[in-house]
Amino acid sequence: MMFRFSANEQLLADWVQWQNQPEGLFPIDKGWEIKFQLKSPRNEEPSFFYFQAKSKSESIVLVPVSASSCKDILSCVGQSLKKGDLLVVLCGESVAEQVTLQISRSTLPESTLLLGLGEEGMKTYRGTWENSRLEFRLSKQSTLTWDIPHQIPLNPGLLEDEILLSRCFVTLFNLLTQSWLKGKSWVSFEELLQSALPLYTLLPKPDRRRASGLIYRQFEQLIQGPMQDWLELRSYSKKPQSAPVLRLNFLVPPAGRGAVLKQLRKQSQAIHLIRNQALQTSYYDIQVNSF
Amino acid sequence: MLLNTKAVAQKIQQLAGVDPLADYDESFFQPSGCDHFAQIYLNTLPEELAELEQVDQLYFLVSELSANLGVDLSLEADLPFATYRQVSSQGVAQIQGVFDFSDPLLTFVHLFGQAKALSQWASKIGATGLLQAAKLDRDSMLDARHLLGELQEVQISYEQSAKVFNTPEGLTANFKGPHCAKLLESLLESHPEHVCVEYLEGSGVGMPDSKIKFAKDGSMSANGIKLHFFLELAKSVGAQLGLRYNRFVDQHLFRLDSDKTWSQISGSPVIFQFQNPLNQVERLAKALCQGQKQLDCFGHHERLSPNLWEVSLFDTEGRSLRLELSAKQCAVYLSDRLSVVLLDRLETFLESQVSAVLGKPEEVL
Repeated sequence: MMFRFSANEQLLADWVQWQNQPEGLFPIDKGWEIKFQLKSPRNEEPSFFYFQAKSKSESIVLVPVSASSCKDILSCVGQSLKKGDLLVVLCGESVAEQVTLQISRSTLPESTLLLGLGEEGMKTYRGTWENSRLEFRLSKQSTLTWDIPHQIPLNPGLLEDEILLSRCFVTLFNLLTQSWLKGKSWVSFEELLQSALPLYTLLPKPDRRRASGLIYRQFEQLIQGPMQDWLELRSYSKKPQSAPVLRLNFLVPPAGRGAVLKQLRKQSQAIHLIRNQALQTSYYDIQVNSF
Repeated sequence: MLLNTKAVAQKIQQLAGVDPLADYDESFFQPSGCDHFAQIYLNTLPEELAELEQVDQLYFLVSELSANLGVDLSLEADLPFATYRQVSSQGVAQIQGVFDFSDPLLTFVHLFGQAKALSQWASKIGATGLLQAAKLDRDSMLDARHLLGELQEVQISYEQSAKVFNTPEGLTANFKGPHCAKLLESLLESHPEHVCVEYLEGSGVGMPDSKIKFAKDGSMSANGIKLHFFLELAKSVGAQLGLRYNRFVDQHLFRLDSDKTWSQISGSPVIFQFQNPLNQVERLAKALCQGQKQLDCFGHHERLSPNLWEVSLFDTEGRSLRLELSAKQCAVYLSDRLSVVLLDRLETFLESQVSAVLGKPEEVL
């Protein structure tokens, strides 16, 4: 294996949620429950997932990290740990050593565990399990990382990742097309974000601003490119003195199945562009070449 | 299933002008023809109406149905029933119908008259969008053969899509006559995964002259059979459907609950197992998104990992589904009650094109 597996925080979060099923570490039918929240470090860093797996006698805090976010998250988590909580840090296999180093430099409790996600599954990189039953369940897991279901809604703080951004746009486009087919002539940008990203309203303000700015920039570009004759982004205010809101206006009414399919093709072209942003030269070239 | 067969029978006999106490012959709907047709529908009232009181909801539903169908349905005062009677210019009853709304999830519609007019009527009701024909899955269709006395006709139809499989297989057949039960059994032994029953027809138990037909869209029609016997059959089919839809609503609605700090995810996906692993997963993902006639939904697909595709689907009525597709299975995330209709369509599509079976409750992760 030339490259070691790198996992983003979203995938790690999905891994944690998946542990709730009968073969997982924290099966729901054995009395475990998994809850999560989005937490923000104090500085301007994006918010992160913070999980709590709880049974009658145990409380485990699981935190997915990446190499870049690791330092901020760990310092923030340390403060919010309660007495008796076991901290489990999760990361991708490729950054496991770096994170181990960070943990040993930090003031986190000695019992802190580090798990690294590889292609074959999760392995313990630091620390030992006190509960041997959990250790046993972890070692018996045979599901490949590729097959982990994606259940956790997207964290809008992580949208800089291209895969997550394109997944987000899939939802955005579906919602847009649905409103278009219902005969609406406009959609409020803010409401669109709220229904596409269920966690959006749970974010603190700076994160919300960052996420909506990111999506706004993408839309701006798309509207000059493939979405040119379908959408228009306008700011609108009811009265001259009221605060303006952003609206997406539909330029054409829906007409028949052919028109829908045409828009869907343009949308998948747009999603393709978002995913391969680094490679792209100009929207117009690709529009000519690929369809 | 709250079906009250006695009340339905009484209502039907009352409508036909028959003394409910008299044990009347099966052909009591003379002279308009004596076919009995029943269809089970899934209620698809919009969420905002579901909050209304049951009485108001029923009133709304009946008046909407009347407006959409262009007929006059009359709501009963004492029971959650609506009745309908269409009379020709000579004063002869052509179609008579009883709508039973006693179950919150399923609606039973019993129609009497000539077979052709009845099935046209049934599809008209489905087209209103307020009620949607329910779906009997593969196993329930196979179980339905035990409700019949002697099987006289079976239609099976299964064809793997050439887009998804490298060497597609298919099995479509129509058996008629006394041997069809044996033929069906032998097929079930040799190629169980390829048997996808469209409809079954046969006589009732102990009634060789009668004719009963079950189709997989939850419709039943009968001829020459006593009313109470037919209602019992409808009840057992309804109970099956009730189990199916209640399971979707209770266990599989995927929800995100958030209070101020903590969020929790509940509900598990509905899993369809593929009997033969797919060769071209991406093509199936693509086919699902393109508004095919059978599915009538649009969407996008994305590759999540080398093994997994995400497909998000929506239709023009505002329903949506999220799918995770791999070569071996398809996991469906249901986000609201109304989207169950889309799930039904998806299941029909998968059953007839890739031989997918709904995971049993205990197998669902």
